[in-house]
Formats: sequence, C-alpha cells, structure tokens
Amino acid sequence: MSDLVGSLTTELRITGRIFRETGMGLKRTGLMNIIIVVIMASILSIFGALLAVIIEMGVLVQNLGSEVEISVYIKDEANTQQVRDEIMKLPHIKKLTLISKEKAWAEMQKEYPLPDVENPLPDTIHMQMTSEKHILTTVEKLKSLPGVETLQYPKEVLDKISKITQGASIVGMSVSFILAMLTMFIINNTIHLLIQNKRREIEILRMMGVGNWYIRLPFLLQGALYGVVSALVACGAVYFAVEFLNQVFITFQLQTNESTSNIVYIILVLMGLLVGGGGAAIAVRKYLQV
Amino acid sequence: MIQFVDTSMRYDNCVALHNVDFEIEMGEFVFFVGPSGAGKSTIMKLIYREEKATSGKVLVGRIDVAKLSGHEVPKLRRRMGIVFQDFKLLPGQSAFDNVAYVLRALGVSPTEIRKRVLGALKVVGLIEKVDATPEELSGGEQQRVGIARAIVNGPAIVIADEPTGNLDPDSSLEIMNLLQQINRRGTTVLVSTHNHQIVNQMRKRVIALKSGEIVSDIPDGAYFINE
Ligand SMILES: Nc1ncnc2c1ncn2[C@@H]1O[C@H](COP(=O)(O)OP(=O)(O)OP(=O)(O)O)[C@@H](O)[C@H]1O
Ligand SMILES: [Mg+2]
Repeated sequence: MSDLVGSLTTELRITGRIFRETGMGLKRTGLMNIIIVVIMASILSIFGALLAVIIEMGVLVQNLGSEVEISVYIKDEANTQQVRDEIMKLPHIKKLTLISKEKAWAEMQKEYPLPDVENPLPDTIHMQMTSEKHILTTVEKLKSLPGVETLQYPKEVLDKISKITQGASIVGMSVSFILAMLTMFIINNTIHLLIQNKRREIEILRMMGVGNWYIRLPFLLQGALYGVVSALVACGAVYFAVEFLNQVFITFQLQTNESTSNIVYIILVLMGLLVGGGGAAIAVRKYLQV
Repeated sequence: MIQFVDTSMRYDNCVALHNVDFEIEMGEFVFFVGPSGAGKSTIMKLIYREEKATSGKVLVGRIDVAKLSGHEVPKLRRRMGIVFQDFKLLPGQSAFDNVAYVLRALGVSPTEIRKRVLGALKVVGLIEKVDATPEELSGGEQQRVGIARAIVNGPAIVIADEPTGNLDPDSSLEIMNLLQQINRRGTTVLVSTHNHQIVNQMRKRVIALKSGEIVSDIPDGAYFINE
C-alpha cells in the first residue's frame, strides 16, 4: 500500500516536472510563442468561418430541398389509389397530397373562363421530401412506376444548389488544408529550434536513463498547447462572426443554426490539437532521437 | 560483469571494432588506451547501448544489450553513470542543480534529492561549492560535478570516456584519483584515456586497442603502445 502511494507520488512529481519543462520550453521560445498563436489563430478562424458557411449552406439547401415539390402525373388508365399507395411506400416523404383531375379541373374552371370541353388534366400527386438529398433517388424510383405518366420538379435549381455546395466545400477544404500545412511547418520549425537549444539537457537525460516519454512530452505538449490556445481564440472570432451573420440574416428572415457554432467549436479545438501536436510530433520524430 | 563476445562494429564504410573479446568483473577498474580512432569510444557506446554491435554480443550483467527494447535502454542506463570529456554541465545552474537535474526528472522526492546530491558532492570534494555555477568553477571542479552527477544514482558501473581530455595534468591526476576512490567503494569503473603518465602510474588493468582490435590486456599494466 505505501509502495503504491510512493510510486504514485513519484509519478505525480514526474508529471509536475514534465509541465515545468514545457513551461521552460515556452519561456525559451519567447516572442515566437505569440507569433505562432497569432498565425495559427488567424488560420483557424478562417477555417472556422469557412466551415460555418459550408455547414450553414448545407442546412439551407436541406431546408430549401424540403420545400421543393415533385409533381407526379398519373396515367389515365391507371388506378390512382393504387399508384398513390405504392408511392406512399417510398421512404423520406414529408408530405403527399393527391389532387384528382376533377378537382383540378373545377378549380381551373373557376379561375379561367374555359370552354366546356372534356377534362384534359391527369390525376396529380404533389409531394415533398424530408431533405434535398432524397429528391433525385425518389425521382428515379417514381419514373419506374408503371402508373406514372410523367413528373415535374425544379431540376435546374437543385443542380445549381448542389454544385455551389460542392464547390464551396472543395475550395474551403483545400484552402484549409494548405493553411494547416503552413501552420504545421511553422510549429515543426519552432520545435526543431527548441530541440537544438535543449540538446545538452536532452543528452544528459538520455545518458542518465530518463524515460523517452519524459524527454518527448514537453515538446508535444507545447505544440498541443499552441493548438488549443489558437483554437480558443479562433472560437471567439467565429462566435462574433456568427453573431454578425445573424444580424444580417434577420433582415432576410433567416437564422443560423445554433448547433452549427457548437460543431465548429469542437472541430476547431480538434484541428488545433491535431495541427499543433502533429507539427511538434513531426519535429520530435525527425530531430529527437531517444 | 561486462562481456564482449566476438564483437564487431562497423560504421558505414569503416570498421571501428573487429572481433573483440574481453570480460570485466564487477568492481574492476579498467583503462582503455590506444591511438585516436582505435575504438575506445565505440566500446563505451556499445556498453551503454548508444550503438548496437553489428555482430557478436555485448553482455552487461548477463543481459544482451542489443536485445533491449527502447523502453528498457533507460533502465540499463540508470544502473550506469556516464562522465563526459566536455563535462556537459548546464550553464548558469548551480552544482547542486546540475547534480539534481536527472534525479528530479526521475521523480525522486526533494528530501531524498537533497540527501543524495549533497552526499555525491561530498564524495567529489565540492561540498562547499554547491551553489557555484559552471562558469564559477575550474575545469577540474566542473568535471567533479560531472562525476557527482554520474554517481548520484548509485550506479554499478561508471563509464568515463576521456574524462581528463580537457584538463591540465594536476587536475587530471585528481580526477583519476577520484575515480579510483569511487572504484574502491565497489563501483566498476571504465576509463578511456590518452594520458600515458597516469596510466603507467596507477597500475590498473589496461586494455590497449589499435585499429579496432585488442593488442594487449594486462592486469596491472602500463601503457606500452606507441601512438
Ligand atoms: N558515428 C560514426 N560514424 C562513422 N564512423 C565513426 C563514428 N564514430 C566513430 N567512427 C569511426 O570508428 C572508429 C573508431 O572510433 P572511436 O571513436 O571509437 O575511436 P577512439 O578510440 O575513441 O578515438 P579517440 O581517441 O580519438 O576518441 C574511427 O575510425 C571513427 O572514425
Ligand atoms: Mg573517443
């Protein structure tokens, strides 16, 4: 029992020393700390803003998509009820209304002075999907139904929307990737310099049998710390950007999604950790043989 | 016990050791001598597993050090104390902090650190200079701090590669006497050196190397090799 307590306090002391070494590394890095955090926070802010826009656009498209109406015209000879039941079996339907040709014709006659000819209209089903992404698959399935004469939906609008989202995602992600690489490069260089600066300490520790992780961890922690601090700054920037966006959106009667910012915050912190810790890890791997 | 069994070491295009065989008992004091490039440092690096032999074996306490994992090498080194030619002290830090540095990294308690560091500094005769930084110490005194650091963890083996290479003759003799004193307390001591005079004077076991091979191994030897 006292053995356990003893080894636990030893571990605690070692942990304390590792944090101290990290602190000393930060002190030695000096002004460069601030430069790194400013650069990294800027980059993460850009990334966060892009991400928020992309996610918001996705939400917007989904909302738009669920408003899009598919009109299904049913063959004259088909049994309308049967066709409707069959369509109802399809997944992701938000809303479905059947308008009989008699009803449609009556309404048309009410609005326009039409001559008294035989009713030329087909039975029609109007339907909305839960999301934009289900429209095309549903359209394909509808086309293959025997009772369906033809159908109509705003194809071009949907195509354009999905192209814009895709384009924004690709551009946004490539820009972010390049910026992330740049940040990693800067951190990698900083940690490399620090490793050179601490060469003597490292050599002493190695030769005297201090564990490899004790030597490596302060560098990794330093990189990770840059990531987290920068990410928190970037979260602040994104927060204000979203607030601003909401002000603008109010005039268009739109609203940003609350969960969007939360997702962005989480991704920013993870990205910061990955890029910061990753940059340091590359330097440690490359320049610190233990 | 340290044992080299038919050990060879080659760097990219040069043979540093060629089929070397020897055995050192615990508690021995051994000099390694020989001209520059003979392989002295290579032998020491093989013992503390800074390098791995390209063929043959290096056994330390019956353990084949080549088979140690990256995790086990530090454990091996904790049973050794290494003394450097250029002292490798941390500038601006007191003798005490220099000796305590590794103990702190190992998580030893402050009271224990104090006890052990002062004990080690007493052994090397620097107890009144605990607060002096390397800049305030002579070369010989700096090497004493280096030796205190090497023995502070109570190692079974002390390895000193040219410990007096940067020192004047008087300080060199003092350092060698100090190593001998440490050896008398039961610690195995391995020293490589170019200092003929001291080797001839101390009458210890001398392993002489030339071009990576052992040319003589004499129990109470003198330094016969002409460089
Ligand atoms: N890292 C290395 N890479 C390539 N060759 C090396 C390396 N280290 C040592 N050697 C070569 O191995 C041979 C033995 O070197 P070693 O350092 O063991 O000699 P030494 O006896 O310690 O010499 P000195 O008295 O000058 O310190 C030399 O020819 C040297 O050039
Ligand atoms: Mg050498």
